[in-house]
Amino acid sequence: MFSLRIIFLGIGLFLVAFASHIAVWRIVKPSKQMLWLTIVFIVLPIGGWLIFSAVAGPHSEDGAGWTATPLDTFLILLLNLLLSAAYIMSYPPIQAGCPSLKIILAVNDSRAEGMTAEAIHRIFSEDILVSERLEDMVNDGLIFVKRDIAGDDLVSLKNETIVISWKGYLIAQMFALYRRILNLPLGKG
Amino acid sequence: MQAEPSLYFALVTVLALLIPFTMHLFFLRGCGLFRETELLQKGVFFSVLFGLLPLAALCYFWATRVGSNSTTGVIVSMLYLLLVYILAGYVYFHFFNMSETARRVRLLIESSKTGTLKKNDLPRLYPHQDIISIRIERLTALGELRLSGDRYVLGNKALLLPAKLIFTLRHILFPNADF
Repeated sequence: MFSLRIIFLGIGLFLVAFASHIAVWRIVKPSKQMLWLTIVFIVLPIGGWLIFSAVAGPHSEDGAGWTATPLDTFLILLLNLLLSAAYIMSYPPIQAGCPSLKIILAVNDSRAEGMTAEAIHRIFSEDILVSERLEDMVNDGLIFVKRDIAGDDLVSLKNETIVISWKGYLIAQMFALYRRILNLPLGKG
Repeated sequence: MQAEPSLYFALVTVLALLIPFTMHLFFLRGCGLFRETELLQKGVFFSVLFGLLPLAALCYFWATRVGSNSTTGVIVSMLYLLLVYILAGYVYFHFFNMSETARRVRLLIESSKTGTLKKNDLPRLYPHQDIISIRIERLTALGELRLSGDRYVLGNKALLLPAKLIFTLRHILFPNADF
């Protein structure tokens, strides 16, 4: 009933998606990265597997091949989905350069001498910490930025207003609800 | 009509996915453990670790009552369940971390309170200095950083390898990015 083939196929599907991800990112550099990650890691493997099953299935009736049962398909796609989810959850620090990991690498580079708190603060500019994240959120359709044309400071864009989209609102509410279920205060970011 | 063993296995797999969150909820709400800021992430780690007990019970139930007839089939299905559980635990750990540490989630929650947010107000609501100070505090609580005099040095180095891996991947995907 259960063969190692299921595990290999689940991992194989993920590896194909991962190779496609590197190729797409190196060639196209998509701006809506979360949408493209979903397409590359979830839509394409599921679609690809269903097409492959439909094409390969009839040829295996001679006994030489292997036909996936509905359970096999479920287990293969679930394993692929979990591997993809694990990668997608690890992706934000890859894309945005996680500050905590950056601190670890900087302190590691300083060796036994170590770093003062001031020196650690100096590694980061405000642009990298907040403005670039705002840009990512605009690109992913979570917020949009409205410029106040009556403002007198258009050059520095200080009069911009951040407006949350319905998608961003849903995500914010989902995390707020999750923290309420755990009975924890909202995260500090 | 008796249900197929395969259907039971699908059900056991789905239940295995829910264990990390259920255990975390049990520790936080049921036992009142791991609620302190410095223990939050450790709480998720221990929830996933202790979740191996209900997972073992599920595996035992499936293998003895319903499972495959062949020993190889049972071993492979247990291996699959363990893999699925570790991945579910890893995904859950990151999901919790996002709710706790992600700048984007914090910005979304701040904006969702009123629907809009003046960019001018950002430094007051989410000060640049705080972003770093919170992280230094968190890394020290986790034992990743250690204060030696007035200088921070590396502590247990558990995050050093993941940090190198993440930045290598960043280099592969974004060769021109600022590091």
